[in-house]
Amino acid sequence: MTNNLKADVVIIGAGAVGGMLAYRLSQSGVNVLLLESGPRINRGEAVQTYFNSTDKGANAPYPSTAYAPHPMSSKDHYVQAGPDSFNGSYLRGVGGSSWHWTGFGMGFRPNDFKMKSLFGVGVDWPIGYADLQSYYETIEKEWGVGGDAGYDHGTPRRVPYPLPGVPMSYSDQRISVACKDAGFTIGPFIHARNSVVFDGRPPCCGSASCAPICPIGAKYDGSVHVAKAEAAGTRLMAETVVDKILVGANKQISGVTYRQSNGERGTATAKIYILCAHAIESPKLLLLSKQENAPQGVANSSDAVGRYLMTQAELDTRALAKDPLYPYRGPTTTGGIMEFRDGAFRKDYAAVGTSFMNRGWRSGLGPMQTANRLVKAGLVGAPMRQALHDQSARELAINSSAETLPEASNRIVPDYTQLDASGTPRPKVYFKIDEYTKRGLEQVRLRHQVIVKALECTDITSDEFSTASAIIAGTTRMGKNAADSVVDPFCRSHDHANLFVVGTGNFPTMPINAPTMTAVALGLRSLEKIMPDLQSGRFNNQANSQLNNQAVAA
Amino acid sequence: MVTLEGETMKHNDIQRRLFLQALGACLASTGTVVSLAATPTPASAASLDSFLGTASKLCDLKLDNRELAASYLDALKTQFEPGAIQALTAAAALDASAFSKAVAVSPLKEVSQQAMLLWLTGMTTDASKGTQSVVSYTDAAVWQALPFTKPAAQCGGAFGYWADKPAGL
Repeated sequence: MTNNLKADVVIIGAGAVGGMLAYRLSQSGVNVLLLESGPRINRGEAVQTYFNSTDKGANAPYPSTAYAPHPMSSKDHYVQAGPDSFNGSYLRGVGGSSWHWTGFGMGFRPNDFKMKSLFGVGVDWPIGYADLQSYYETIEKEWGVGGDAGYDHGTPRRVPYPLPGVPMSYSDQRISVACKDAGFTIGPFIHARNSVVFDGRPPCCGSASCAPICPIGAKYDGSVHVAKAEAAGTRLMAETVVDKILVGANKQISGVTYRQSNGERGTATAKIYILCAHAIESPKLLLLSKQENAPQGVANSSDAVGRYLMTQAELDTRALAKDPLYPYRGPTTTGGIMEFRDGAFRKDYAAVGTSFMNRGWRSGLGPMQTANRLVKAGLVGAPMRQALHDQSARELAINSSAETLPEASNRIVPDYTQLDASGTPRPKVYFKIDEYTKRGLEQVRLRHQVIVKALECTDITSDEFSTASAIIAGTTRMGKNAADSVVDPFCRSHDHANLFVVGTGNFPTMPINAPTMTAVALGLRSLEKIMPDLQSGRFNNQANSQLNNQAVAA
Repeated sequence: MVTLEGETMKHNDIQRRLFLQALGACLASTGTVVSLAATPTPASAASLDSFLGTASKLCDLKLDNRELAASYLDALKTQFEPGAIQALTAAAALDASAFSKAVAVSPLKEVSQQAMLLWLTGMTTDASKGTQSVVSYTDAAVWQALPFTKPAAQCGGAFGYWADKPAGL
């Protein structure tokens, strides 16, 4: 059976961006069809799935499905082409990867948009902080962002934070006292988790599991606005995988084809299409959709789709402090070093964000791993229990994440020789951590040494540099020049006027701050073009066009 | 005629006797006399109580979840000879000093350590497959040993509790 669906706007991907755009469009009376490849996620079931998981990883609450697979580790879904392993994690489900995000409510800094002109590295964005500031403010109110006005995060403010701040943990405070003479400031972060009852959601209860799941919905995730969108009239179809974007002879998008988890296939047509399936699935779909009218793939006349993949590179240090810090309490992260996230040094090496992890040495499993070591060392009874308590209470976990630069050779392509469970080419990832980033991390290594010394630590272990699981960006980048970018400054495809590609994939550079708020801000800004196009009827003929039957069958 | 099953039983019997001899020597070194039956019995209420008693001593925690005890006993039975498990449960009767000495020496050491890992982590391991599975995450005994926290993905208290030093510590 083939279904033929029609709407004013088809949105592909029901995550933080897709949900917000669907909500805004439906509020304006636009007929929106929201197609999500993954399932609806039931919070209670997801928590139980997490409890039953042995690895407690980023996607532990969200099992990969055969019809819409996603990575459960860096090795099971990506085809790693090297030279460095790419560890960016994402999930397919209603609400998207924001289900497992840490939950920070920050935009980027003004300098983050001008890396080339200020520091001579990377590229400049075609837009600046001033272009996004009002959208940041809107999102803060929608999400319920809480912050402490006493700290300057380098992001100019015109209005107070909507919600009170989230206090730093006891551990953060102890670290701050110990490091008072170290030459840097330890301060609280800006949170997209409720500090008071807001929008029908409770305040945070300190589950220490924000990543991968908040058990009570205090942390904002994209499912909040997907639900609002549905209430406003959006038609959501979950478990519906768009497998091809169709291009008409006039270079406009003429429809999409999809398959559902039950095997049914269908098509959807609209006036405007918005692709916001995150920075791996969006470029993969564009590249898989190559056809006569788009021989290099959709939106890819520049050959930039899939390229300029970015993440952050990390250095983790674990140690036992002299005195108890009492981790495994509170939100995953509540404080970190305020400096080194921006500055003139970015001419020489990468900006770095250093955070202290309230989730201890290993989220969800740290005490089990400690118990395992102690038992195998021969400890029994009271000495074992006391050592378990003593060591767990003194765990210090420092995470530092450095920005990476956009390199054309860092990319994702569909691997037609490696198919996933649904028969779709898996994402093959080429990634190399650049020297600029490594120089930043070497600075961080020294900083970690200062911290562990200040806390009189023992049992100190630092990992090798690795790529972060939390960040995926680039791959559908924004620019004014159609020759080297995929979308214009309003996220409209250079090649197809009725296609908008929105998300972290648009970022020309990837600074230190969490990317989600900026991705949603870009989406809200794209409405400045989408709404007038809908109101003027610019693409009305496109909605009535006949699909290319041959392409649909293919 | 001796069946394969009978051969296995005979083999188990020898292993059990060897184990009990070793355990007897081990316990004798502590100056303690414990009566060990030659033949193990199924997990009875009494053996569950004894297992809970041993586990409580091993972990230095008050462990009283009989459902978990039954699950962990079943898991141990897949890895150890019945005699080993019987010896483990019998150790509940030892006084503290004798208990510490007994579980520090093979063969009781190995089964004791495995029992501790089951209780503390709430996870079982299938050695033949190299896989683990969770019996209970939230009831894993590590959380009981760490009164300043609780299982991940469970609420820890009212908003902001994490800013203060844990009460009583």
